[in-house]
Amino acid sequence: MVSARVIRNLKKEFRNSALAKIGLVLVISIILIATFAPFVATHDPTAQQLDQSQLPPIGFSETAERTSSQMVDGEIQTVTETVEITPDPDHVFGTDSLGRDMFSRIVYGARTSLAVGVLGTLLAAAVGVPVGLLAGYHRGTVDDALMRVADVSLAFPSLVLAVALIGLWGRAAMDVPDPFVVAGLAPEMPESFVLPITVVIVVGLVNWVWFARVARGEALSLRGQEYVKASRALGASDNTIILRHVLPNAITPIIVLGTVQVAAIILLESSLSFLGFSGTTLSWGFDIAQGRDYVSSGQWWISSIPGFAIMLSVIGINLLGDWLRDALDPGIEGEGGAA
Amino acid sequence: MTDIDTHTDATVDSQTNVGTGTETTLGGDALVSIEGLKKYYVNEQSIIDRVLGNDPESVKAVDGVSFEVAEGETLGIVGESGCGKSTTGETVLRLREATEGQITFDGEDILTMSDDELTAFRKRAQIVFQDPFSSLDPRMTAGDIITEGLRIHGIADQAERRETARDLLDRVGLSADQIDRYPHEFSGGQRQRIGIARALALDPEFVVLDEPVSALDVSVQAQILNLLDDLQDEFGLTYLFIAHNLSVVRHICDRVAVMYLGEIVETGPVDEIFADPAHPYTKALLASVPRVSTEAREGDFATLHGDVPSPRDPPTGCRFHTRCPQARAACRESAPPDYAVNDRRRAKCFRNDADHAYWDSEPIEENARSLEADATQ
Amino acid sequence: MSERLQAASGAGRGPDADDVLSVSNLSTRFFTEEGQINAVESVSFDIRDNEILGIVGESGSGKSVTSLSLIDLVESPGRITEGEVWYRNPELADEFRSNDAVSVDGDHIDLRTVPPRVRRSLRGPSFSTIFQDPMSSFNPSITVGEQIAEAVEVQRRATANPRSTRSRTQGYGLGQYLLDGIVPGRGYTSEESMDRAIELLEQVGIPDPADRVDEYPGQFSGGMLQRAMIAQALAGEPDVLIADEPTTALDVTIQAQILNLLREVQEERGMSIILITHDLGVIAEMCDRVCVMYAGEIVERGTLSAVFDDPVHPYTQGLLGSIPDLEDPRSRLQPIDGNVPGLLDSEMDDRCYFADRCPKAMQSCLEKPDEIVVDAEAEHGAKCVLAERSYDPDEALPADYFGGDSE
Repeated sequence: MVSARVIRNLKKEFRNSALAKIGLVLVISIILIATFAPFVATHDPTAQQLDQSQLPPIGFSETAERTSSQMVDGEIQTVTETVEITPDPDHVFGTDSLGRDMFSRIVYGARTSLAVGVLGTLLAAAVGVPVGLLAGYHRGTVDDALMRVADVSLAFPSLVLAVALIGLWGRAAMDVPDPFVVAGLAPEMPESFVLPITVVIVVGLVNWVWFARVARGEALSLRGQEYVKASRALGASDNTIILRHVLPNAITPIIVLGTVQVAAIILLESSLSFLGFSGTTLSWGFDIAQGRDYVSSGQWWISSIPGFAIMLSVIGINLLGDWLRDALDPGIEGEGGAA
Repeated sequence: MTDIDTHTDATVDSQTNVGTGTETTLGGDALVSIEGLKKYYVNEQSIIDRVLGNDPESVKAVDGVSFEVAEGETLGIVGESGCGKSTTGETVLRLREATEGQITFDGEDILTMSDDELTAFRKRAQIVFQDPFSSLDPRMTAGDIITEGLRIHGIADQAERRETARDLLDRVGLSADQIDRYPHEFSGGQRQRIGIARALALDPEFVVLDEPVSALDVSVQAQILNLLDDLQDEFGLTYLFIAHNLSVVRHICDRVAVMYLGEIVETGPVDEIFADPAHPYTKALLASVPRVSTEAREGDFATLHGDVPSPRDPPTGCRFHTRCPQARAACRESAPPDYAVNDRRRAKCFRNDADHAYWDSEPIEENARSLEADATQ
Repeated sequence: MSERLQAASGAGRGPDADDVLSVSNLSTRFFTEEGQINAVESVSFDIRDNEILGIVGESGSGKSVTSLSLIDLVESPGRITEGEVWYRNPELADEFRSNDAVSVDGDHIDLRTVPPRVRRSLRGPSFSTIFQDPMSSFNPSITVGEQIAEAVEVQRRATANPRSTRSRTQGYGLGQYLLDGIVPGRGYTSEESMDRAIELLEQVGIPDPADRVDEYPGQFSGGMLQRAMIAQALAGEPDVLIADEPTTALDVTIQAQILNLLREVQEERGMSIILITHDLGVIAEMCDRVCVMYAGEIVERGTLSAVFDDPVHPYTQGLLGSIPDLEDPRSRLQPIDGNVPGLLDSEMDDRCYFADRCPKAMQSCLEKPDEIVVDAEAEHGAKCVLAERSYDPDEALPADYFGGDSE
């Protein structure tokens, strides 16, 4: 399916674009970090060490106001003292309010984001692409019906819809055993990874429409191609034509959309976690939420570092998507012969 | 050309031979027989139209077409854009659903076939398309394209199919080694050959050729025409050749049907029609073709007046009357039936009926002005 | 340049007095990712007053790029790499005579040496083009009348400032545009230009021009729109009209109308037309002289009867032999084997470009032939050794000399 010319375009676009290189680096980094999380993380991200709470990241010294009850002159008084807190080299990104290592939480958070992002996108595509292809190919009442459903779906802001669905279905999560830890290769890390299933299903359902639209658009234009007519003349059934002729030729914009959707779903998942609607607490969004109360008192890193992580992920994926789109531009594909 | 159009075997039989061409135009067996074929495209009506009870607007792409194709012959359908020739070709193969009419292939009625029968029919009747660039799936190899039909019908196993593909590539003048190449690696003419190979893979008897050389360069055109000729002899094929280029039609076709605005206006052996057309449209068409000859030109082309009317709103009476240099008032009032010019030819023009009221009615002025070459009225 | 070449083409030794346009050794190359494509290679020809010159060729012959090169419409990655385009314009010649950077020869001026601004200003008043697809040549959101009036307006402004070529078409910028949008009654075009537009529409045979002037291109049929395009091309009263496949997209009966119109227009105005097409019938009906192009070169040229009745170059012969004749059906066509070359510089050998498809290729064809005179009076020349000798089977190149598979 991928012709030599496509590969050549990909390489050419990549060579010429610094942004594409940045994107690829970012994305590959995230994938590696997420996959090998047990090895990259320095601590168990769920381990609380209350005496080590609120440590700043390396390089930053924080002054904080500590309020405590002390005995002063025989009376119990609340004393506020300004304490200087120095970072602990053991915790590169500092710790959160419960003393959990921020760096490790970021690393494991990458897993959550990537897992939800990819699985959610696959689900959205699995629902949206067939719907779109059928609607675009058959047109008429099938198209009308399916697209009305899509319109209704689009009428709801995705976050609101997601929240509503989670409210309905709860925050079920699945414990996925971590192969590295189970094999004994990283004994201190948690044995299973919590995959928020409902969130995956919800984000998939919320975003299927984008795939449906793109697929439908492609199917609409491809159905008029003469090779589709030729296939029918040979006796192919509609389903055969859709699978063998329409889908392969429509796949390019769908792939480009897919990459961009992963970024969008990561953002959506982060928003849901932020609002407390996720089935897992090991998520960038959750950390932003929990750090919200501490920003004004000076512990900015608990919210900001996860925020940066989200930002870099989304930027990386979008740059990658741009590269793919430029390289796979339909104007280049499919032409040829004497001019 | 004299006043009343007489063509070789005189007697014009106006009423009895009208309508069906079955007995009079062909000697041999008809492989394909089309009768009263209509294909209308109806516009969706808005609610307001429905409330008001307005008739739905329709484009009468094909409006009552009848012809036959004898086994082993090449019938040409020629006409300009919008005349409905491509639509006719596709409807004959049921690639579009006819609105009305009857299509008979080897005695079987195509339009009432079940799905299974239709699938079987597909093996016997195939089509080659006009555009070499969009008629091949850019993501399939030449071999896959050619054998797709075999795969669909479950004929032969993979190895045999590959052999067939190599064989066909060879037959159509390409190298069998190119079996794994993609369409963009071929030129227009080569792609068209692949399209022809694809059509032949199922071993059909009847092939519709929808403008197969129109998109090709002149020198490549000639290669493909020769190839089609050879293949017809080799495989015993029957062709329905749709084109707008009259010279090509003259070269390759045995008989020809001339279409205008959804109707066939003249049918007959190609040499006879081209030498002595019985319908003014055919005459105008022939006169408009630029000749590759250095003989002194006789002034301007004999051009037709105005544009082709829209098939959405065809003229009343004879559809050609708005542009016909020999149109008279009678032509506006009623549509001419299909006259038998002789036992091989038919034409839809009152001028073939010596007794018709046409000869007594007034000529239509605007049209008379436009024609320089033919001054007979 | 060899004498033989000069004698045949009349080019290369400078323009003649009755040449409106004289092209000499024009080469246009495209510098693409895949390599350098020599679209037009050392092409020379001239066009005289009051004639219709035909340029015939198939796809990949370079005929369209040639016409684009004349009016400087070749876009990157293409570029005219050499050649002279002598245009007869006494006023322009006078203006630039003292300018060392610009080549002037009598009343002729070499357009390749004048500033691009000046070249651009010639489009309309001096050169006009009509293209194959009228639908894409018009802006679908502006009325036809407005677009023709624009062309008229350009001409009007040009003639209003004859001495200053720089001021032609200039003077309309963003400020003017905004002002025209706000102030009612203002616009680029004036009432006079619109009247002239109506006149032009009538001249090209469009019925009810006063009404149609307010219609949009989408409301015109193909034939009518082509007429409108001709009207637009004529608005500038050009000396040379370049018609690039003007009737290819039209039905044959409409084509006949348009060709008649072009002939009429040409006769009335004494204009010169360069007619580019692949249709030999159109050439035969319309042209006085013809050039046959193959792989970016002119392989044969001459008067119509010389080239069509007495073709020397095997490509021309092959072309003529490939066409089914309406009057005289043959049982078998004589096509040319093989395919048109790709024009990639790296793949083009220094030999006759047609040798790999030529049924009469000989040893001497492995060297690039010059253009040789066949008949000086008919100005008939061919880039082929067969112009001065006959085919000798003993010297023939073996059938698979060039390898690969021909069809």
